[in-house]
Amino acid sequence: MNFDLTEDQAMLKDSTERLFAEAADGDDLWARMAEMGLLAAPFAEDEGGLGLGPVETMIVAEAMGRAQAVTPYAGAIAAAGTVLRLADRAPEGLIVAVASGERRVAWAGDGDVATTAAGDGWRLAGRKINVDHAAGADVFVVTALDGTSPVVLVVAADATGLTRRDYRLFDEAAASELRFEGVVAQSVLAQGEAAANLIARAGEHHAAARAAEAVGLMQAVLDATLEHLKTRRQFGVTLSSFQALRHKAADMLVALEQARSMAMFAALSVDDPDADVRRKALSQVRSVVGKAARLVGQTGVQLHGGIGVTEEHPVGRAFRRLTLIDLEMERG
Amino acid sequence: MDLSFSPQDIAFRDEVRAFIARELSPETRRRVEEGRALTKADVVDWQRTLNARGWATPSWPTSAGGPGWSAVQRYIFMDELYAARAPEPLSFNVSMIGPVLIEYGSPDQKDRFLKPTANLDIWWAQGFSEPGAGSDLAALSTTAVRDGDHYVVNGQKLWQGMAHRADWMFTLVRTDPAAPKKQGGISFLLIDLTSPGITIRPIITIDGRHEVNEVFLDDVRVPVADRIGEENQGWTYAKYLLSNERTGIARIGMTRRVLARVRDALGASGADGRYGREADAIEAELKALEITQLRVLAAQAAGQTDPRSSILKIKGTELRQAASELLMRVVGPAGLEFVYEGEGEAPFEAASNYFTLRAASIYGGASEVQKNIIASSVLGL
Repeated sequence: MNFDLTEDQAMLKDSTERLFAEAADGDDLWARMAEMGLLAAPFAEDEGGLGLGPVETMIVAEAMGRAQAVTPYAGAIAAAGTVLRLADRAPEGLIVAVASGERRVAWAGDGDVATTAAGDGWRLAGRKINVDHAAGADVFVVTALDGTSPVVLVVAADATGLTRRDYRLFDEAAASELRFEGVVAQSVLAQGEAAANLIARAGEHHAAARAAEAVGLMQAVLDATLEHLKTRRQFGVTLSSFQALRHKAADMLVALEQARSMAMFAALSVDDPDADVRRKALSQVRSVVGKAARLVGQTGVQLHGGIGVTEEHPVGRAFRRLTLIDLEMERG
Repeated sequence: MDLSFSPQDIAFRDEVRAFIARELSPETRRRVEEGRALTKADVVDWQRTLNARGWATPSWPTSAGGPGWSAVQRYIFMDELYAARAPEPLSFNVSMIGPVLIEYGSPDQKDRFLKPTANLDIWWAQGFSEPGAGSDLAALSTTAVRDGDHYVVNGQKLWQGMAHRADWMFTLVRTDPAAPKKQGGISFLLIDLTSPGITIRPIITIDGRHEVNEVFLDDVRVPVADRIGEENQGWTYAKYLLSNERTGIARIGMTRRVLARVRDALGASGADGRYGREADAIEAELKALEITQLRVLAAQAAGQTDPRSSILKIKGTELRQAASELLMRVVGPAGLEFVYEGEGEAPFEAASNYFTLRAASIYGGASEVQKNIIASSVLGL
């Protein structure tokens, strides 16, 4: 048993924290993440990856949360990347291109799409919503139903019959609604039980990454709150002299440390060979992290006073991101 | 990063498990399982069984007759005790006074006390709190005045757990009322409870049980040789004792046991209902706390003192209380019958256990005190 990072992991933590602290959001950040090998990390070495595991994903996601960076990482690498990685056969060259950052994949899970095998391939009809960072993606990994049987497909972003409406989510992430009308898939990754399994694995890896991101966000909220309590003066004294506020800050730490433990548990469970073990572990992770995200977000805003509910202040934005993660965790 | 135990640790776990299965009396096991009050014999016999194996004092070093276990082994041992429905080694002896004797006791005191403390030939009580000194322990006013080779002790102590079973009491007294800081004038005495001038009065708590007492000291003569360490340095030893009291206070295995009873009572049909979901939520928090505890243990094993042990106390008691409340609700009407300790057994002790555990967030440093510690020592506020 040990909770220490290896030397390589500690270096990864340092360099990702530096990257996210320096870089602004946007395409440039994604390119720099690719340059650093962050996108290649979970993929096998013979497919252009680094062969690293969920602990490395945890480190990257937590650093991202800490800096409140908004990137396609969770959807593209943790969810869609897992599907590509674990599918029997991914389209030729796709993993290498995703790992290098040359092509970007987006995960289209929410919404209803029906699919049928036709002569010329699999045809899709229906709608996906809240597709994370769909604009600018080259391919979508799409879940669909063939009758009642799940299918996972790869669809080119420029496929005929596919339309996109772009918007943003309340956590500032870019998202899109995708409409499929007679779209022909580029390839099928899995059907039936294999597809259900891939979808579950994608959900688990996504939840594990988001749990770590939430821990980073909670740390950012706690840090900002402590700074505020130590510097803001009312009634002639700093806020930190009021016991009611000190106790709320202590509550935030307790919740954060519980969530941190669960982010580690997620990383250490997400590749367990036993599906029941994974399912139970990730469900426990979601339960604890969701509640912690809510408590830390709400309390952080409350302790900041009026400034906490302004658009301009980072704590309010972190609260919105934590709220979105809380909702994800609740849905499973 | 790795959560699994080493093969040696797993072999150790199996050895502990087999030992408990072989040695624990079924009647003691039943009383622990059902949350009944334990008899003195339950506690003493089990402590001696463990001691014969060298396991009664998990945290003691080999130089003091302990097993010299690693933090992980101690954790495994306690976890196995909880899972097997075995009593814990008596904390007053093993976790409180024992480490103080080892760290600060004179050679003569170690010689006189360590072995009987491990074997529970001496049952210790804790003489810290007073009517005017609860969370603010240093405000205590029991006095000890030097008279030749003795101190003459006068005052009142409160909340002495199991003092009616105890032989000796480790006691904080004020030896210098004029000390500039109230922490500065305190000494740490070992008091033989058979000494003349001691009166122990029971306090019955809301769970119907007799666990705590008040202890009156009226011109009690205590040999100076029974003082721990230096005069007026008692606060240092007391703080050391309290820090040991807090480690491992999360009682995760105990809460897991209560949750297992909740699941049994719910049966398959209730698993997806409201209570089943509440049990799931508590179990998830418990899993997180288990990992938090292991993280703190790992830090301690690396020689770091970790003020995050306050998190374990706060969250551990919160979950113990939540689980006991849930069990009471799930048992429902079948658990309303109430008996006082000594009147026999009620059909279920779920309500008694719920009432018992309200004290868990008060003793050993109240949750509010733990939050103060977190705010100043961890958060730097």
